[in-house]
Amino acid sequence: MDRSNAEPVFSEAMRRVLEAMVAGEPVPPEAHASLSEEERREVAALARTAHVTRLALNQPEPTLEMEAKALARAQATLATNGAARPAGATPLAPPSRSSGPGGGGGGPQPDEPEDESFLQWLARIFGKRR
Amino acid sequence: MNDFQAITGGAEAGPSDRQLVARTLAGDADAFAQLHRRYFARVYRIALFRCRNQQDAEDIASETFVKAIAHLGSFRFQGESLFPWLSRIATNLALDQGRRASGVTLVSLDTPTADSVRALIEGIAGVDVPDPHALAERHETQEIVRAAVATLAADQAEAVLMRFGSDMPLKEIAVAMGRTEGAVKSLLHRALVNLRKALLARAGEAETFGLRRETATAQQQATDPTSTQARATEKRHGPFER
Repeated sequence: MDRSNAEPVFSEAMRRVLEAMVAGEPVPPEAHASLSEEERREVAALARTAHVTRLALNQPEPTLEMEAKALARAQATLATNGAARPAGATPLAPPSRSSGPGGGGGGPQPDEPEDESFLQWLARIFGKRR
Repeated sequence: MNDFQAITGGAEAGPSDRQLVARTLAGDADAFAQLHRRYFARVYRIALFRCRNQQDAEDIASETFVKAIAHLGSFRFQGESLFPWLSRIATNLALDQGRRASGVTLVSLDTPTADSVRALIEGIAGVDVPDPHALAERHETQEIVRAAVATLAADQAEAVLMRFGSDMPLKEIAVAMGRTEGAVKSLLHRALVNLRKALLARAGEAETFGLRRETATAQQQATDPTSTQARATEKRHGPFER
């Protein structure tokens, strides 16, 4: 498959304008003013690319029936199994490593400080077990 | 169109995802229903992007929330949104079930739509460019855009899907991708440049494909004695004088 990954080279003004654009922030007037005519055309084309991409990626809407069916299925699972972790269960996966169905893990467990490192977390878990 | 207008969306209104997750874990089914309403459409579109088949996308979106319920108790927020996690579940389901898109566009490439996409992006003067909203509602446009995003490097495609497909703030994208906001900005504007090239390339392919299709149809009609065009030709020139 074609991978269009060549690194584009931008002027500093162009880079500032594009970064403001993707962030949804106002474009710095001085940066916009210092763009060349060609760069302005490029920026305009990229803004239109972003616009049409956003509109297209936000389509299609799922049907109400589809959504209702999925919700009913999920609610039935919730009613049957619940969503809570069993009381007293010790998390077996490190907080910021792959765990669970998403593979992305999550932050620290409720009884852990936010900034606890992976190694500290491991030491504490294994320390507990000893 | 103002070149800088509304390329990104706004924040969620109502209770935060954290509040809704906490209430769901406490047994509040309405809170879960709110999360479902908030994210089902986005999860469905992520699934559709991954597998390019509406039925599979529907199954995957539904299964994503069932999986999420099963693991919600051990989920830990990294940012403020549940969506990156749901998106990963949907992506993994698509991969696990072998429903990944083959890279082939499943609808026929439509030349007028491809022309319109190109005219819109390039701001070609004198060409009848449809309203962007109307253009984006065409199935062919959505396929052209999804196919173009799929040609990007994985991190660029992920950033584009989160920013433009799901209206996530840069801060949340940075958390989800484990990068700084500055790095995400840079990634996104490089992605946009590549996306434009890819979209124009897709439009070019559509044009070539459409031209070939038109030529093939014309040739078929000319050689098919039952076709209207062939009969008209015969009328004018006789059956052996084409």
